[in-house]
Amino acid sequence: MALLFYSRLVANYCKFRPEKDLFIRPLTVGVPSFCKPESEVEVKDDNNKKHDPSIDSTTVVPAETSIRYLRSEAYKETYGNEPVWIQYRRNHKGAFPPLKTRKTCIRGGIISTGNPCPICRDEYLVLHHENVDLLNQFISPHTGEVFSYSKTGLCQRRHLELLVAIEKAKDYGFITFDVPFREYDYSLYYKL
Amino acid sequence: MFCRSCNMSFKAQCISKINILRHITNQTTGVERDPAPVFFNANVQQLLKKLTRVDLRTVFRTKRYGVALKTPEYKFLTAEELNMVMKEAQEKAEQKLQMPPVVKAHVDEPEVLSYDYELQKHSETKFVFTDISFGISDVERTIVVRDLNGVLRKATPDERLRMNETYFPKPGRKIRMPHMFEKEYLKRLLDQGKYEFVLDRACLQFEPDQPIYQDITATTYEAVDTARHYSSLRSTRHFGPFAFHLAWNRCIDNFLLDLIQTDRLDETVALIQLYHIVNPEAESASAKYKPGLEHKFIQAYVESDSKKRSVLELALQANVELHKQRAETEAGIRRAHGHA
Repeated sequence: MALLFYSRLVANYCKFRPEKDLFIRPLTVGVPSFCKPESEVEVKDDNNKKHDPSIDSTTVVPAETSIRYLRSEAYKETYGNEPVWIQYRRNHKGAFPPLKTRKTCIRGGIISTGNPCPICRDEYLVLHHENVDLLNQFISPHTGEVFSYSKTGLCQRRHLELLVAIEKAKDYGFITFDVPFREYDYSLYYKL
Repeated sequence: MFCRSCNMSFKAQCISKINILRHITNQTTGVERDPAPVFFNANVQQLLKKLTRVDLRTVFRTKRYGVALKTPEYKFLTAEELNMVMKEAQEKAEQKLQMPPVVKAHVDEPEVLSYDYELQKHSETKFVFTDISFGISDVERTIVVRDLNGVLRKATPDERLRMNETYFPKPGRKIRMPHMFEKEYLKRLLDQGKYEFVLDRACLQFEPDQPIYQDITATTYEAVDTARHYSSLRSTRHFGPFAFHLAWNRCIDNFLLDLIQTDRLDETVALIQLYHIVNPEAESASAKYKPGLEHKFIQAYVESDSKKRSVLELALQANVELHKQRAETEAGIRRAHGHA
């Protein structure tokens, strides 16, 4: 070991070619391993890891189930006759909440925030164009407009989903609305 | 080259003639004659307005357009001011009850402007030229198409609608037809009784001379007539065309029955008069109406032209009895009060 060190030291300082001038005994260097043997290592497989069921949002609930859920005892017990967003309150410092709600409550298949929005917190509330009972809760009965996210507390992603679902529902005729009046110019259709 | 251009122009004309023939053979009863002159006749318009039965509460009900509502205004008025305001309300109601026109379905036969076969294969797509100058209506706007074979022609009605919607979009109208006008979704809406919504949206989305608009309106009117939900359309702009459609297709019997059973004799008479104008070849068309002899006039129609004779006769009989009883009761009350 000392010989090796000496020879390398000499090589560095004298800049001569040791393989020509000086015979160095070939040595194998053993590096001490501080890792566990492979058999003992637990393989980290994030895909198969099971999260706590209270935050796991990977299961996709079909729209039909959601429609049945809105008529069920469990829903009645949880929400009563009120819209699902009425009792929700955002957590923020100060009297005035931030102008925009959070981007999304669910990241990587799990609820990644505390106090998730009214739709993200209940996996059986699915925003689908056929789920009219749920969609109508977000439409004002007086003016017919869709409530803003600042009123309902939905995260941005769910709010966009809601707008798309309502637009689709109106397109398929699941939600009816008052159509703007069309005035006709009779002279274009029949010359009297 | 001369022979080829001849052949192509002949082919184009043949195709257009075949289209006309196909349209004529596919026509249902009543579409061969043009309904527009009859619909826009002053007498017919008056009768349709009478049948619509203007109810100001229904006409001026709150409409939710997604805009913030205005708070109601309360005013103190004298009798003259009130009369003036009521007159204005009647005029406004007439505007709101403007009937969508009933016209013949258009035939897809665009006029060819020039045959430039030397231009063919210059492009893989057609070119559509639209005149977007201000001040021209959608119907009069010039829209021409250069086809792949070099022919310059005027645009078909469907192409016209598409270009008009692209450059001059109307609020609420979509470029692509909404799914709710497809058969299964339309049936679902009609079963739920949303007739006015379907008709309003159809008015906005389509032109009155489009075949699809005529299909949708016909389906809706039939659904209303079958279910006897006349009150859903009454006092709306669609009742006039609905009554016209029934008279045009000679199936006013259900409607007539409803009017007789609700003791609306003036409207019954109006409906039969409408039927006579729309179908002058009807058997009872010669019968003249004299005020006070409604039952006789209705009887004449029921005997000659109705398809549900027995039911209508029964209803008419019941109505005659009702009027008799009323007259007797009134006479009795007059005698009791000491009048002659």
